[in-house]
Amino acid sequence: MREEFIVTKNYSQLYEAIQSLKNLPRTAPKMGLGYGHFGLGKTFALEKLAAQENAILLRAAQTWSKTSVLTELCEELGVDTTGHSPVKYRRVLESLIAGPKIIIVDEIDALLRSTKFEVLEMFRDFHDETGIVLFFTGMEEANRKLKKHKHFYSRIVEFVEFHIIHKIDIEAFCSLSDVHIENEVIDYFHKKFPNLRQIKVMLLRLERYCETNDIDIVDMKTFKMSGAEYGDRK
Amino acid sequence: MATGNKNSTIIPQTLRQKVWNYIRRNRNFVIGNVMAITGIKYGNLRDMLKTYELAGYIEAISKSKPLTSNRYTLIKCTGVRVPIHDKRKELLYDPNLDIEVEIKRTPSILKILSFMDKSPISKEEINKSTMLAHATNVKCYAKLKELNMITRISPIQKNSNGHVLFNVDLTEIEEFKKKVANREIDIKAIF
Repeated sequence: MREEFIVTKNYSQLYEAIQSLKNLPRTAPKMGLGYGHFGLGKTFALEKLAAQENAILLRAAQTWSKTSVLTELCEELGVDTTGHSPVKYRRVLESLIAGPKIIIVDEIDALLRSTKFEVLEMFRDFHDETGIVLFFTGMEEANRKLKKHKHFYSRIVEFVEFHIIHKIDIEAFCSLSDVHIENEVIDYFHKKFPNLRQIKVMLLRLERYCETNDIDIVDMKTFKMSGAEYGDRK
Repeated sequence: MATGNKNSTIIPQTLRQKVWNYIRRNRNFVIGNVMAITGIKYGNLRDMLKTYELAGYIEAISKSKPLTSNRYTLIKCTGVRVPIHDKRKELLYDPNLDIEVEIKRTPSILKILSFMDKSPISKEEINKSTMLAHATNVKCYAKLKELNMITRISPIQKNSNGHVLFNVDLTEIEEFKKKVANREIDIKAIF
């Protein structure tokens, strides 16, 4: 199987949102929010985007505090991590003004509790003072929960809702396989497996089975025979 | 308030830096995912990971086929800057700690010889242990044949798995290893 990144519809939406935020004038709010159920490729898409845009990608955790985030940001920006929070805050600010960077925060759900909201407020301060692009992603409820904080929500100008993987994405993904996957199998994947992670595991099992049995084309019968769906050969 | 951005240097976003960033964020990572995200070629990534493995930065969790499914874990994350491999000096420079780690790679031919502990033996048996690339194996066996350290049995004999067996001159191999250790033989010059 060839290892290539598949530009899915979800990824294209995300990419377009980031480009549109980048093109906004300095004074305009530049926050974005991506949300959707698990297993739709949000994190993988963010990884790709971070690599392409040289962005800072952070994964929010329940243990985050303003101090720990400031230290993490100092590290990512390559500036000194010692000193009190206000000093680190200024360093991050100066660094972002000198060399603006996109900041992406994944798993924002961990910051949506009232006790953690001050961390989000700190990100808002960086955004307001430096004009950088700030993008958050979280689960389905992230959008609803953020709506409650009107002053914050009003700054979010780009929304990306992650949808169930399209058939066309599965087709593109299957085309990376060393064997040809027939349409009926792609339809089956589309109906039964909504995420590419599961499909990848099955394709790798299928390839192993096909190599052993000298098969080039996989139809539904071969797929069922291979036991790729359950991980063992029946 | 001026804070003076101590040590403030822009981190160049090279391909290797991108790989390092990815594996820092995903401490348990699969080779294929690193390739898909960063766009690095397999050969370059394999070299990079091999160096980190030798320096004790990463550890293989699973090695299987296809090779892109191999899984590693980052056990020593020293900072945001990518450690750089100096091939000529056989060193890994870690700018995060400002230290140099010596990287001593065992030459492929010595790896093969270390598994030649009986005679006759099949190449497949050795290859299973050395886990070297096919092209490297071919090159090394050709050289060993040229040096008369291995010879094919005539008429051809096969083991129970159907693999062709060949004779190994164990005394010659020991001599060769000693000479390499005493630097009487330069392996680089042989190839």
